[in-house]
Amino acid sequence: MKDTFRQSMTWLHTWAGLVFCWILYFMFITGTLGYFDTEIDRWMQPELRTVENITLAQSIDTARARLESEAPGAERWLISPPGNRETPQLNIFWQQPRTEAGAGERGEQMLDVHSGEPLAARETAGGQTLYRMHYLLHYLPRDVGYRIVGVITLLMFVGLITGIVIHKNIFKDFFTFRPGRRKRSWLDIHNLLSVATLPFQLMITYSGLVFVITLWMPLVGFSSYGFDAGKLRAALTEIAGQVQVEPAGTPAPLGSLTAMADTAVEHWGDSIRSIEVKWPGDANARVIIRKSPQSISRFREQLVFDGVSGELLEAKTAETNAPQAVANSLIGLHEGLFAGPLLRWLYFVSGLLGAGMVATGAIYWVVKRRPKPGREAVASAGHRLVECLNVGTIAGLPVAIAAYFWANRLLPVDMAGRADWEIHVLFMVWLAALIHPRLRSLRTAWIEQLWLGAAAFTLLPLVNAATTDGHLLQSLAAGDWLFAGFDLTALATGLLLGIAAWQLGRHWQPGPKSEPVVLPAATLATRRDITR
Amino acid sequence: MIVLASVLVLCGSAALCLAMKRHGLQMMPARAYSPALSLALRVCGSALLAGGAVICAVTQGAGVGLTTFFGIFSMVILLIAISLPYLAPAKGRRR
Repeated sequence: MKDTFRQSMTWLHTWAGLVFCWILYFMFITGTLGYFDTEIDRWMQPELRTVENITLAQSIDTARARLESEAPGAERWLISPPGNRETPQLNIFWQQPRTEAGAGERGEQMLDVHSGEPLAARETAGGQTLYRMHYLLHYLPRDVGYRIVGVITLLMFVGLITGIVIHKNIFKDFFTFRPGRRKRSWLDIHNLLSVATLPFQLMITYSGLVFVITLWMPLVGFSSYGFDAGKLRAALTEIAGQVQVEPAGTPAPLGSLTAMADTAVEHWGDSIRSIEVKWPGDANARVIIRKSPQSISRFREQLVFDGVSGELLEAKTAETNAPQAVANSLIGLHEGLFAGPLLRWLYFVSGLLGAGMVATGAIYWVVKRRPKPGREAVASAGHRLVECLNVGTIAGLPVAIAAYFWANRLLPVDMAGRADWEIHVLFMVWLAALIHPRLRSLRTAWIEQLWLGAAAFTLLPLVNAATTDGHLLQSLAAGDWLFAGFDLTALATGLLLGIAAWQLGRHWQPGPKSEPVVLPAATLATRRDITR
Repeated sequence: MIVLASVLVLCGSAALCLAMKRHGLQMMPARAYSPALSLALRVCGSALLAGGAVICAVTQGAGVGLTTFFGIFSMVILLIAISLPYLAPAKGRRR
């Protein structure tokens, strides 16, 4: 153990932070992209057009007809009307009853509102897979990925708390950034990114832990419900206020969904998020209509109808369970589904800054430990490994993500397993980026990968223009902010990576003993002030 | 209204920043800086920040509004901190 409390916290911060920082960086980047998951989905299926002038009744009737032919006897149907951010198209989802063999079969389709047929678009992993990777990773069984992420989230929380403890002058250094001072500058920027975005980082990490609460505190559940996983699940469903109903076993025709939706419109106006039907075709059928999110909480107001008679049974307007309300608020804040455009961008930038916090921490680790000139041989294998992982992840992952978008446009549209191959491309490029620094000098590896990322993102709008029937100028002229926004964001990302590559080429210093960099006058003043 | 809130947060943060001795001396002549000025800047800065938070909370509801406020605040801190060394007048050259 270290001598003082602060020293031991520093030790913990260093190592809890370093060991998984590359996966953490991956989680931050993919999770941040998740704030634009449906926008990325739409960019990745450029064939789809936005739905216009469709009444709610039309959507419901189309969806119902399709569900009746596709999934009769299902345990539940879910209809999401089109025209909002989360479901721009008419979506249907169904789940068959649980059998001896396990969970029932599920299906999901996007429908053409006019023909009722599934929409034809290229197969893609989309923004959804990118977003799911931030809590399930990939190529791993769901449970395993989830657990690894749970452990890393806890380490991230430890990193935040110890970081606050060891930051001596958290208020005094609140606005401090001293460029051109190597180690000092890296620490400054790491501190600055962390402290400035601290509310976001604490919120996102703590609420991340709330997601995995049953993983970290299973005994609480066991103490009340025993070790029966089924019992525990049932109890959690009940606490969550979900409607639980058993089928009667006697068939009865499902009532008019449009009439029930009309009742919901009377209650809320035009903000129906989804219509769920439990046990359609059974005498005990229930229809649950949920409202679009209006507040930070994940809780959705809902109306519960008798599925056969259409009678309104219950209106749930607020939570009744306080811990559940707290959890819903935290999880709602994490997901940010309530966020309008401005807040969504703030979430996005805060997330990227979180990734920057992790990256600068990892870079500071190596900069601080770089061997002094003349003692190059001392550089340990571990140090070299961290340097290579830093290049391959911090600069390499953006390249891999650009490659993912390129793959979406360039892989043959009718290719078998296309969606999987998009993901394979992402991971193959990332793997190559991890190997590349082993073959080159560090400086070259950093600069080459940053330039590659810059080129890949800058050219993305051109690839889009060449492979689809729209381009940036068209989407700008048409006011299609989704496609224009994607292209502009790609250009901005490319520009930033290019600036990073260019600056790194000019200012790279291998060891700490070289001549001091020319300091802007202001930083001298600051230094003088500190040494006073 | 959000633009107004952002401007208030920017001005408030800048005032709080200048109220700190280190940055006060960095940005203005030493004779202009005094503890009284620092206190005044601190009071004004806090008031402007609070004003920004209130505007966000009133226009968007407490939950969403405060989330927006913290988002804007984070961006503003970074903007000020990173531009500060480049904005400072070149008077620090004397040792």
